[in-house]
Amino acid sequence: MEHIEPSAAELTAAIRRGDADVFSHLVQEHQRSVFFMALRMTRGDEPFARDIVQKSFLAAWRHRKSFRGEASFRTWLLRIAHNECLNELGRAWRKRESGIIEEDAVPVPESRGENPLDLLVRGEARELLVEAVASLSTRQRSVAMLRLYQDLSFKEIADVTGITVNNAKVNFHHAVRNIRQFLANQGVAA
Amino acid sequence: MTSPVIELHSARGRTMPCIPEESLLLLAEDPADQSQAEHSAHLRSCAVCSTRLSDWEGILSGLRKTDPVDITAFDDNYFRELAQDVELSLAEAKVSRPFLGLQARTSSWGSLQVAAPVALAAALLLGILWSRQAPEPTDTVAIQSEPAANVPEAGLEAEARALGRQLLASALEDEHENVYASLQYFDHHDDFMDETAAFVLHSSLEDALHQLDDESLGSLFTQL
Repeated sequence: MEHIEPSAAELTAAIRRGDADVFSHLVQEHQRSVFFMALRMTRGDEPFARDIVQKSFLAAWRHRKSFRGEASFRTWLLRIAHNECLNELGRAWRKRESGIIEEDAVPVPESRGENPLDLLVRGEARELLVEAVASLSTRQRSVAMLRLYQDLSFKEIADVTGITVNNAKVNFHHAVRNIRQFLANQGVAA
Repeated sequence: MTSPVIELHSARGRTMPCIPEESLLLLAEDPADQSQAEHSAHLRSCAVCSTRLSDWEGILSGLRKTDPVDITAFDDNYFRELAQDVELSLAEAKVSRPFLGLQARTSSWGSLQVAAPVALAAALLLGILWSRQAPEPTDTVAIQSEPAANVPEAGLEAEARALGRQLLASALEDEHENVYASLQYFDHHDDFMDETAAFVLHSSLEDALHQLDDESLGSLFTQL
């Protein structure tokens, strides 16, 4: 039997009326995105990420009538999941918004030839990268992870995180710059 | 922010400022980014900026190759099982749970018990529910039934307070017989505000409450 992809309008309508088959398909299609986003926001906390997947789809189901198809379902779901992450991580975790590494605190090291990330690619300092990412503010981490590993556009990142596109770009810059600086401080930079 | 390196380099006899670091990174990330198109001429003539651009390209490439979490540990079987768990949760959620106060058989909401549902049921019948954070934590009101739009906000708030006083008859009590009333909704969830505000206005408080776990739900009610 030929499978016909629903139009965006049809999909939106199906989501809003709570079509069980459609939701089942959406779970299959998008659970990885939500899971990995949560995993990256928590230094690999698998039970947390699993819980976020559950809560996000439940919230999507309960909010389904507020989905108007203005953004893709993936973006809408990731926004819900992102908010679930922030809520779950709680107020104490949000204190990290101030960031361990102050933005613009130190200049970016000059290149001396070898790309410091080459060391990471060889797997010699993966843990350092984990620490570097963990040292970012929540927003920087969200933006960087969504851009680098989930391949979202800056517009989509803005929609997911509730900031402007320009702010997403600025946070991306700060994130990458701070990761580079963190690695340099750890002696990874060549 | 300001770039730590702003130098001047010659291009056809003119001096042009070097490209700010942020722009270089964005160019490295997306060479087609039209917002950075102004820098293309400078890049062709400035070896310093070209080198720095290459550096950022290398950094970004390296980062992309090195995911901080090992996603290979989660295979198709893992996600098959997770999907089953999610679908089970969804199936449970699809079983309609009547809102507190709507019907006599509704006797509990999470760990909270409906003590006197009549007034809230009456309020629900009036139309779309609207809620807002009361200015003071001790205020007892944050719920309003508002069938028509375009009511001045001050009026809405006053009506919410009045209705809330009535809703004391719809008090809830927990297993320790502590009595609760007053919805103080969503102000704690500032990150969710945009989403939930629209949701509350376009849907029902019933759905809004359904999404909350017991702890969050309890936090919405003021103990009397």
